[in-house]
Amino acid sequence: MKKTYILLTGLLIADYAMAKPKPPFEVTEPEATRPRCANYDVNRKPYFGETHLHTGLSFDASTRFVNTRPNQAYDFAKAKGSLTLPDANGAQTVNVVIDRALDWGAVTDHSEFFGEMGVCKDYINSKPEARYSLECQLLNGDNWTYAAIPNNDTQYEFSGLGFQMLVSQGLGPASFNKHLPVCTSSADNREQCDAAEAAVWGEIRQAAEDAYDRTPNCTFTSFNAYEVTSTPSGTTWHRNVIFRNDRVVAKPITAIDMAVEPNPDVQKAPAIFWTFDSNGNSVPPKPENLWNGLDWSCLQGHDTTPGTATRCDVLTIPHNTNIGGGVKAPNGSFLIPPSFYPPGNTALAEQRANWEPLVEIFQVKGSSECRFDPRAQAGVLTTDEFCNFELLDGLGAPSAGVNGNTAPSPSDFSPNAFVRNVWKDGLSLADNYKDAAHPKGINPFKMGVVSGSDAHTGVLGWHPENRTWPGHAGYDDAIPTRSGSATENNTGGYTVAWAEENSRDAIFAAMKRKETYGTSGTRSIVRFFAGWDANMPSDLCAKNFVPYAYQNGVPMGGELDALPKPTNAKKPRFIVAAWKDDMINTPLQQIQIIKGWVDPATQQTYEEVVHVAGDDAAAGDAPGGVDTQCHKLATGYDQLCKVWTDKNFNPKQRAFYYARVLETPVCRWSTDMCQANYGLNPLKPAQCKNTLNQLRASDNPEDRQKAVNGAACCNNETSKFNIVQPVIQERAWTSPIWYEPAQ
Amino acid sequence: MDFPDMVRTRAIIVEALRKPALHFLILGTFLYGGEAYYKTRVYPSPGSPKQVVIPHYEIEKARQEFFAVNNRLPDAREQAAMNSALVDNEVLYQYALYLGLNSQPVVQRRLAQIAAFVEENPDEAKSMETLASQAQRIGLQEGDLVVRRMMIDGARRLIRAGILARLPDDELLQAYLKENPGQFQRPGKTRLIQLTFNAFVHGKDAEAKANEVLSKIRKNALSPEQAVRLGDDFWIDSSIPLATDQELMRDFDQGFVMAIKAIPLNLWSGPVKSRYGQHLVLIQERTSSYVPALDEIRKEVKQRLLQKLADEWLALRLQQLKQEFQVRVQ
Repeated sequence: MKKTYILLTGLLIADYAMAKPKPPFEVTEPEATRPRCANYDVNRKPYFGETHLHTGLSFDASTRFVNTRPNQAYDFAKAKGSLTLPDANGAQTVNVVIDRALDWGAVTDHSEFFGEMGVCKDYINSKPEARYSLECQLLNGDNWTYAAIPNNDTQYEFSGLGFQMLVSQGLGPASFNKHLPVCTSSADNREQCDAAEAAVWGEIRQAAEDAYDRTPNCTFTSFNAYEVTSTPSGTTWHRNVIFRNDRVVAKPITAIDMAVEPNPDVQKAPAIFWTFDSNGNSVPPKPENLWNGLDWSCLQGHDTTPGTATRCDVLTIPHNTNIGGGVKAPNGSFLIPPSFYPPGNTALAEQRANWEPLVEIFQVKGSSECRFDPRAQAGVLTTDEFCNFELLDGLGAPSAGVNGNTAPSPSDFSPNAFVRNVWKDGLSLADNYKDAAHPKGINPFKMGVVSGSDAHTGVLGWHPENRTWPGHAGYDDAIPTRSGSATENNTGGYTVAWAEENSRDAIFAAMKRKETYGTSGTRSIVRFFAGWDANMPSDLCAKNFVPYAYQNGVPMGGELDALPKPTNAKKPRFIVAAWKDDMINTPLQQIQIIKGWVDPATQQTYEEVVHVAGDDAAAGDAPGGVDTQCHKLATGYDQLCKVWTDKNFNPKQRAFYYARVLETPVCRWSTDMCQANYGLNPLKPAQCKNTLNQLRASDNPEDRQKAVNGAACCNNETSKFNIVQPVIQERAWTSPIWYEPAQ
Repeated sequence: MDFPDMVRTRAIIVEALRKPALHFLILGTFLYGGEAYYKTRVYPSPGSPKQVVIPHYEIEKARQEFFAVNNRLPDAREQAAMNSALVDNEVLYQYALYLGLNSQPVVQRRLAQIAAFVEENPDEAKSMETLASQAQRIGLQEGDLVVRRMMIDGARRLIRAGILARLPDDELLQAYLKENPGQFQRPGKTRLIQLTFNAFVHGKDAEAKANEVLSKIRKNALSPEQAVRLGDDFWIDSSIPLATDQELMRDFDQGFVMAIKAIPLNLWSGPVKSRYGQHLVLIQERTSSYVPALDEIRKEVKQRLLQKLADEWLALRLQQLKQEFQVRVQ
């Protein structure tokens, strides 16, 4: 009997151990506060999330009358609550509800003005003279809203003026950022703003904590996060800071800490527009200050909040490289370099590679993957015609040094404004960062992929490709087809993390190892692995390939050269599989693998787009698209899978490979909105323009109003400025798999 | 500062008795009554405001703005809502005056700025108080939209703040939870065993293959352990622990989740299509959705309750205040 008990006990322990495998990721959340999830899966699951979202706690949302708060954004993401957004008059009348719940997300409000927002939103019973200061009036925006200003144009001007004044005051007219005078003009104000900053950061953290499902159900994971808004001379060096758990920095490290001249004396306007070194070279902000600050405060634990987690951990994710191409002087040199500039030395290269495992490839303000302009029939260091997707003229052009209403030429853009070129650049730069500890060199830009929203309305995880899209900036673009620049914007995309469970540790670990992919707003599912041909059978699609590929290969984001290479191995082999979004139901068209590599002799970089599965649109075998009323004509595929071998592989060349999954064509949100609301059909260009002119000239005020609201409806791929694709191909981009030769 | 003791009519009192806000009202009476009295001493009312006038052009302006957004004029219901919003704002403004919010330094400063702007002799040195007083005397505060906004917002904030600062007791929380279970409901779950017939392996034959296996399982009354060996080797476990619809949608797809709702317990069924191919399914357990006990979700209940009470209290106070005014459209 005793033996039986012992045996049973042993079996129970074994059963328990088998049911609860030790996670392969570091566990920083003790089991008492974060039990393992009931749906833990060693083969990992695709968790759809959001890494970039603003609420009314961001200054530029507040100036546009957005009142949402982080807790509401999380409720919205969980499909537990609706949001009310401002309409084009600034009145809170637009109710929105998410179509399906999100798995995880982070609210990333602009951190530089947390103190100002706290004062102006009265988080700390701030002094009335501060609360109603000019800055607060501008920040709150309320003073210009509906029923306060009698004329829409005036209202709009005030709102726009408020935004411009705040940005020029605080967020980077040159290479510095600073607080607004309400937070710097006296010691009292500084103290008050510190308290207000803590209160706002506290609300954001509390909202994340309240939203996090710590039960074994693991229905939702929230991350403590914020955005760093370094914008030197208008070029975007923005980054989102995502913390692993509830132990986070007590005081956010922000763009003000990156600035060359943080918080100069406001009584003395800076005499210089840029900061120059002794050689006369422009000195841009220093991202290393951000990372050093986070290292000291968070990783070393010198300034963290209390929390249940064992230690603080954090990463930063740069975004909008497409509008981060730097600022050029008339002589062509960079006054401010692109956000991805060559690090100054090996230590800085290593720092960058360690801190930024991911880059945002897509969001409301366009695609950052690459740029091919159909008007010029040319691209920015690419001939890939599929790079014609969600291009941005309006915001992209100024940072490329172009003004006015003419289409920017591809040559106006810095190559490093686009992620694919940055990845290629990283391959060629790696040799520059060699030392004894790093004999293979350091690729500073070996990043995986996220896709985000950047909506400033609190709509965490909502990307409707249809007429319901209420713009991304509150009052400013509540009727988004009114202007070309707003019509250029899209609804943003998802980041998908392949993780064992929906917990902070598991999702964060997926981000760190780059096992992530981005989508343009649909929920297709993509698997991507690589291994050596000797270990990866060519018929793998017809097998249980996921556990096999984890065992014998590396997933997206991984490093091929880290795999043991069998003696009979010759070439890398990849398996890529994709399944369509079953709710939106648009079939898949094709899968491509995009390879980038560098010739070690010349340091010249190259790229190749390989069609591997589905219909090859470039070869003319992709049937149909949509008709002029947006009915889908293409048949496409529910799922696609392919094993592909790189027959041109050269073991001496650094390379990356990522998969791009294209869905069959659909009408863009703007096309649906224009057809439904204004009777304007972008798919019939000539008729569209005629109808728009007729509406403008009509005696009927209702028609004239339609012309105002649909003013940009006839924009298309041929528009001189503010290019828009009326028909798009939604898509997904995986993180690359990397290869580095032995030294 | 707010005056939660200004209930005038019996009807409103009866209505208020039904609302949890009453608890706060009584508390607030004691807490704020004294201070309110003090305020009225410090900021003498400019006369008990009895009439609110909404100029017709305000209504017309709101109609035009509605038209600009919607390409149509408001219907009767929408028009009523717009009119009501205009009245609310005007009543709150009057109430803010009554509370003396126009004497706040920030408003005074704003009024002084306006007065200085229209001052006949701008070089003449005058104190902020004097300038503000001049502005008030000639009614500039009535027309200044920023002042109006400050005061309306201030009144709203004060009314709501009386509720938001409270710590509701368990009885109230429990009552709210009982009245609003849907807000806190946790979803039902399903536990199942499934066999996959992978579309990448079987292509269009997946369904036929699944049917063939289903017949075999039923005919031979196979146990779940025996049955699962007949499906494809696949990366999704054959045994799915209790999972919500959201989880099952992630693991399979929406169509799969809808389809298995009709499958009876403990009966091998299918084929059921998912993104991965076809499946045979044995539903082993279904749990119903439920509302957790208060101890589990106290913080969540408190947050929602306070927001609701603050909204209700604001609406109630507005109703009370409106009854003190005669509203007229001019």
